[in-house]
Parts: sequence; C-alpha cells; structure tokens
Amino acid sequence: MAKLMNMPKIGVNMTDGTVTEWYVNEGDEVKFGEMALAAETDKDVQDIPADQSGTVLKIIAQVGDNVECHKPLAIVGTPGENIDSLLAEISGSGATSAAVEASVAPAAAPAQAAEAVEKSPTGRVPVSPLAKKMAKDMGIDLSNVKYGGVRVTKADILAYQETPQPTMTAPVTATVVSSSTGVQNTIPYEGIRRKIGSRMTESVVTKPWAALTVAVDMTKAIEWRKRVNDLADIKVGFNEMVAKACSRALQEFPMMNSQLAADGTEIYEMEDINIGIAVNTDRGLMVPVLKNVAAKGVVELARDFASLVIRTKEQENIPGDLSGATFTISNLGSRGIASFRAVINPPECGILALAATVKTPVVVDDEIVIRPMMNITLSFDHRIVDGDYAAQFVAYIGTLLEDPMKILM
Amino acid sequence: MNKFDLIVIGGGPGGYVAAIYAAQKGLKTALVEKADLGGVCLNWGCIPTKALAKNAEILRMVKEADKYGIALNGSGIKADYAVAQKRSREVSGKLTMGIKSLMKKNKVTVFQGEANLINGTSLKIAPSGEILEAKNIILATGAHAFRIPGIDYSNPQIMTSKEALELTQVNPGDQIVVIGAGAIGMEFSSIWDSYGAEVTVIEMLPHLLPNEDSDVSKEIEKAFKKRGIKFKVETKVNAVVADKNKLNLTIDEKGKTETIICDRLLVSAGIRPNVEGIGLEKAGVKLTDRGYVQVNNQLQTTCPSVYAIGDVTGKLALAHVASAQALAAVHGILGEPVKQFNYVNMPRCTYTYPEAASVGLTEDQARKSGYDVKVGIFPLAANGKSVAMNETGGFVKIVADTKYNEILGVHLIGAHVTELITAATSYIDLEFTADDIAQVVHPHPSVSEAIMEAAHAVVGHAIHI
Repeated sequence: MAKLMNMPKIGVNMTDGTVTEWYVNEGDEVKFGEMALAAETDKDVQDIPADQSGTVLKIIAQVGDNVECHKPLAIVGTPGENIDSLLAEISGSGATSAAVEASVAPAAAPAQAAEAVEKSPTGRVPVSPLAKKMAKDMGIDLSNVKYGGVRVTKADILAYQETPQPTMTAPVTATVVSSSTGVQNTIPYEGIRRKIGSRMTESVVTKPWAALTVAVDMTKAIEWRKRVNDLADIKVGFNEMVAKACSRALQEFPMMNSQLAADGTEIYEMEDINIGIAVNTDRGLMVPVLKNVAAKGVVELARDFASLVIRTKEQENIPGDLSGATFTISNLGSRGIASFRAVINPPECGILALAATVKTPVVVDDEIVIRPMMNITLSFDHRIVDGDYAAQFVAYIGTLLEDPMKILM
Repeated sequence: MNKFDLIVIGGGPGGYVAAIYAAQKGLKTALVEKADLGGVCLNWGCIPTKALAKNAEILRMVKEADKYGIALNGSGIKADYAVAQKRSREVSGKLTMGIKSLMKKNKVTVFQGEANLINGTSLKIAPSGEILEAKNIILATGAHAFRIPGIDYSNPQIMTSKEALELTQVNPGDQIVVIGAGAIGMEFSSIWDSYGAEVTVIEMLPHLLPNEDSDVSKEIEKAFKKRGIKFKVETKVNAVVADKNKLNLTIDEKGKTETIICDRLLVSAGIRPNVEGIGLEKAGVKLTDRGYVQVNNQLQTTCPSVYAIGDVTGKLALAHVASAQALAAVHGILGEPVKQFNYVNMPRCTYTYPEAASVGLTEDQARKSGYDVKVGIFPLAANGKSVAMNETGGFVKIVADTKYNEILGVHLIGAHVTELITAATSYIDLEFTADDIAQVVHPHPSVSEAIMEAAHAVVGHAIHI
C-alpha cells in the first residue's frame, strides 16, 4: 500500500526543513534509513533519511519547498499503485506540501508507520483532558502518539514517553546493516537498550561537546572519607563525596547547572542542584538522581543514594527517582579505567567522568613522591559555556577534592 | 445436540450477562446454573438488601414525621419486618423471572444442575448426567460467605448473609451482633437498627468500612454513633457459645477480653471463591496463591479454552465488575480487542444510612503510591439541596495529584450518594482533571454540585465554603 514519506524530525530542535536536493527520482527505490534527500534544517544542510521503503511514486516537496517535520515529502509504494486518494488527501487541504495541514496522516516515525495510528478524518487527535495537559507539558506532538482505545489517554502518553522516537536514531544509520550479512545472533533493539541508544544519539547529535581532564591528588579525600566513615553510621562512598564537591562547584559556576530550552531561544539556569549518578543494573545503565545536593551533607546523601540504588535495581522507583538531574557523575574507577569521556545526559550541560584512583609518582616540591591520583574528565555542552569557564569549573572540583575541607568553606 | 460454541457456568451478574452477550454476538450458548438465575447478587445479595433498605428508610422517615409537622394519629408506629422480608423476596423473584425471559429471548439454553468439567471443552451436569461440549467455557461460579471457623452455623441464631435475608423477625430491643464492618455487615446493621434492634458491629481493623478513605470511615462512625449503633474496632471474636436462647460472645477488644450477650449473630467477614467440585483440575485450570481462579489480562485461565469472570477471579467482588468482565471475556473468545481493566477505578457502593460510594485511590493509597497529593473536600452541609432535604451529613472528597490536577480518587458519603458516584467514575474514566470537572456546569439545586465544588476546592477555592 502506498504511504507518505514524511520529513523526519532529526534532532530535538528541528521543526522543519527546506529541500535543497533530491538524491532519488520518481521511480527509484528508497530504503528506510537511506539518505533520500538533502534539506536545510535548523543546523545546516543535512542528509535526510527515508522513513519508508519502496518505490518513489511521487515527489511532493520540490527543491526549495519548506516542509514541517512529520509533513509529507513524497509518496512511496509499489509501481503502478493508485495514489489518487493520497494525493487527494494532500491537495484536499488546498495547499502545497509546505502548507499541508494536519489532515494528512502525520505519523512520521518509521517504527510506528506499520502499526500506524488511525487518524480521524478531521486531523484532530481525540485526546483525554489529562493526556492533553501532559502532552503539552512534555512537549509531545499528539499526532505521533499511538493509542489503542478511542482516544489518547495518560497510559498512551506514558508509553510514548517510554518508547524512544526512532527518527532520532535515523541520521546515524550511515551504514545500513541488514540481517543477512553474517549475523550470528539477532537481539531485539528495544526497551531500555533502545532508550539509552536514543538518549546517547540525541546527546551526540545535538550537543557540540568538548572534554577537559584534570588529575586530582586524592590523598586528603581518602583521609576525609575514612574520617567521615568513622563518624557516620552509614558507609559514605566516593560518589557521594564527589557529588558534594560538584554541588559546591555548581554553586560557584551556575552556568554548568543550566539547560538550553528545547526551542533554542533561552538558557535556563536551574534552581536546584540535582546530581544523577550513573549506575549499572541488570537492565542496563540507569541514572538515579540525588535531589537538592547543595542542602545535604554527605551522610544524608549516602543514605539517599543507598535507597535510590536499591529502588532502581529492584525496579521499584518512585516518581522523580530517575529524572530531574541537572548534572551527572559517571564512575568507572572500579574497572581500572585510566580516564574516559562520558556522553552528556541531555538536557544537562555537563557530566563528570571519574576514573580509577591509581598510585602514581608525582612531583611535589621538586621531589618525586607517590600519590593516589584520579583523573576526572568533564564533558560539557559548548553551546552553553565556553572552554575557559568549563576549565575553571573542573579545576575547582579538583581543588575541592584535593582539600575537601574547602567544600565547607 | 449438546454441542455449543460457549458454555457459561453460573448464572449470576457475570454469567448471565456473558451468556446473553455471547448469544447476541451469534454464539450458540448454554448456561448451567445450580440454583436460581441472577446468582447471589439478585437472590441473596445486592438486590434484596436494597429492598430491605428501602423499608428501613421509610420507617426512619415515618419516625421523624413529626419534625415535618406530620402527625400520626392512633396507636403509634408498628413496623412489621416480616412484610419487609417478604417484599425483598418478591423483588428477587420478579427479577429472576426477568432473567429467565431474557435467556429465552436471546436463545440461551439453560441447564439446571451442577457442572463438573471433564476437560477444557466439555462438562457433565449433575444430577441429570447430561454431557455438554463447547469450544469455550466461561467460569462464573461466584463466591460464598466466609465462615469463620469455630462457630456452629447449624444454630439458627447464627447467620451468614443468606440466612440474614431469610430472617423474618426483627423487633425493637433485639440484640444483634454483626462481625465484619465491610459493606454487607454495615448494610444489615443499618437496616436492623432502623427496625429498633440493638446492633453491635465488631471489626478487626481500626475502622468501620476499613477499605474506604479514612475520612469516610470516620464520617460513618460519627453517623452510626449518632444513630446509636454500637461498634468495636480492632476487636476479635474468640468464642461463640449458645446459652439457652442467647449467644455468649467472648471478644478481644485491643487486648481486653470481654463477654457480650446477644440474640443473633451475623458473620459477614468476607467471601471465598466457589472453586470446589467443578473439576477445575481436570481442565488444568490453576488457582492463585489466594485460592482464586488464575486469569491473564484476557480473563483466560491456565486452560486456554476456559475463561473466568466475577468473584471467582478474586479481582474485585462486585456485580458490575463481573458484568464488565463478562463482556470482555466474550470479546476475547471472539478474538476482538479486550478492554484492560483498572480495577482501582471501579465504583464501590455501600448502602448504609448514610450511603458511602467511592472510586479510585484513597488519600492514604495515593500518598503511599508516591503521588504529590492535593485534596478538595466539600461538606454537604453547604449544599443547598442537601439542606432542603434535611440530609446534611457527609461530604465529597476529591483526591488529586498536584502536577496536572489529575483525579486519583473521589469519595462520597451522604444520603443517596451511590447515585452520584457514576459521575465521578465517568470523570476518572474519561481522564478529566479537577480543572475540567470544575468547568462542567452542574445542575442546581442538586447534590451533584458538591462534586463540582470539591473540584473547585482542588483547583483553588470552592464557592460555597
């Protein structure tokens, strides 16, 4: 059956694209994920992948036409198919592709196309009042939400939120891997794995990042932690200590605690300092969030973190456990990693990667001494801050860890 | 000849609805019932108790007639409970006849007797010995009153709900103890108190109507206290001994042992599923840890051709839930999409005086589920129609989540509020937020305005308080 090939939304800030070149002509084959045209988007001229497979029966958007995301670019199907009804549907709104109204099936997401939502003929998506409020609040386009009943409900919105939007991963499908080329084992790419994938892709595609590393002498931090653990009734880990140091530094460097608005017109400096700590679970990478770190002591943080980790591993999270972070810490020290760069967790501005603490010969007062050294690497969003600011920030964290007393000052 | 598309076992509000709906959908359908069509609901539960409650209501009104300037001249008020009981049986009888004619009209073949499964597609009926076969079977065998062990139920002074409905004499001064402050126990208490009996309710948990929102429990406790109905919470009955024509109950009230004497005892301490003697094991139908028939979200048992609905599934033992499951099970059998139930959002009604009705989460449940809870309460004392009707006890309470003013639960207590819960149930089912409810124009004067006012209270401020 002939289908509409729509302008995919690649990148969270993309709203539309102007066609600059078609790589295929009418009659050519396109494959899902293969680059079919180039268009000028919010970023630059980008290659746009097809969100359907089949023969191009009709190109609707000509070079120069501006097409909103999820609006039709072409009709794809099998040769000889009758596309009159689709054409009528598009022209029925009395406009060119640039102004095609929502009366056309707007579902662009390829994974959803197969099980496409039945669109009402008026183009209005039936929605419950609660779901409507949620969608508005979360910035979800209701025309993309799949629903099983007679209208979009809260459950549909939550399910949509859980499912990563396939268009996000489309632009990086540079090489099309098919299941026929020497595959030994096929694992479904779904659930958390897919969610992590889309988050990572979103981060790398949308965030111009840079990374800065500082080597930190952990002598005093180790002593401090020992002292704290002598006094406290709960074991305080390095993660909580570093979180505390980060919160102190974020207070000094508030732009590192900022986020770029989805429409790219404003930077929001966040009020609370909520620090996510990446945790490995049976299900994959999860990031439980320590809330309001600035207001808490390390012992309270340790207690919070212990229960967060338990809830996360047992899949018993309560709302807010895994969301609302303004900065993230990723610690691979226990795996002996010398240093690494972590991918920023969008929409945050930065992430701090903690490597292993290793006894290392260093020069102190012109003498070679052995000190426990840890490399910390900050990845930051260059749209929000510049390198110098980020360097001051990460160096300050280093200073705090080298003399933890300063955290209190 | 005895081959069907579907056999339904049990003719209660789950079973008979399933049979009618399946027949309407074109399935050749049989129904096996061991007693009367209509099941417990129609014969020994919901319906006859409502008839008794009506008699009790009239009696209460007549007793208060002088307040309204209506004088009853003559020999005072004489209330005959036997007439009330007889009327309740007639109501059940009438409705049972109605079901019978619906069966006939929809061409459902009704077999009288007990069904025993041979396997997942056939069964034998006792005592006739007939064997029926079908592509699918729906179990709708219902439940029976739980009998607390150690009590002699052969004593006619000791009743479960069924015997309570056969009771023909309740006189002023009769001492009746009711074990269990759930809907059944509370409704009988309310009726018998109206007839002048001295009722004592005994509940193990800390409140009357322990499954309701704690504010509703407190309100019904207040109302019962005012009516003179005694109750003891956090109390267990340790022994029941017959002594001449009285019953001696040894109770443990919060650790304190005491003896109370009464004329009659109603045991209404929950229900148990009817799973014995049906041959479930022969069909490979498994039970849950709690002893109910295990079903998936399509209401299919562990035997794929056998479905189960109603009380026997242990989901929520209410007639309207069974009827809703009945439609869903038939959809499943026909291969149509099956509506997924959120049992939390099923309405629950208690027909005491005053009535209690609720849907969704209680405030405590909502808080425990991690919601950021916001509550709106509107007292019926501030509702015009309630004042005019002289029924000012009770309130409407809306439990909402702060973020979107999502309605999590609605709790009503007051005269006739069971009729109002439908509106609240619709609001929740349609996912109205408190803002939406506040914007719906409710008729004036009506008790239903209180729901709108409570929604206003969630959003900001109610107008009339």
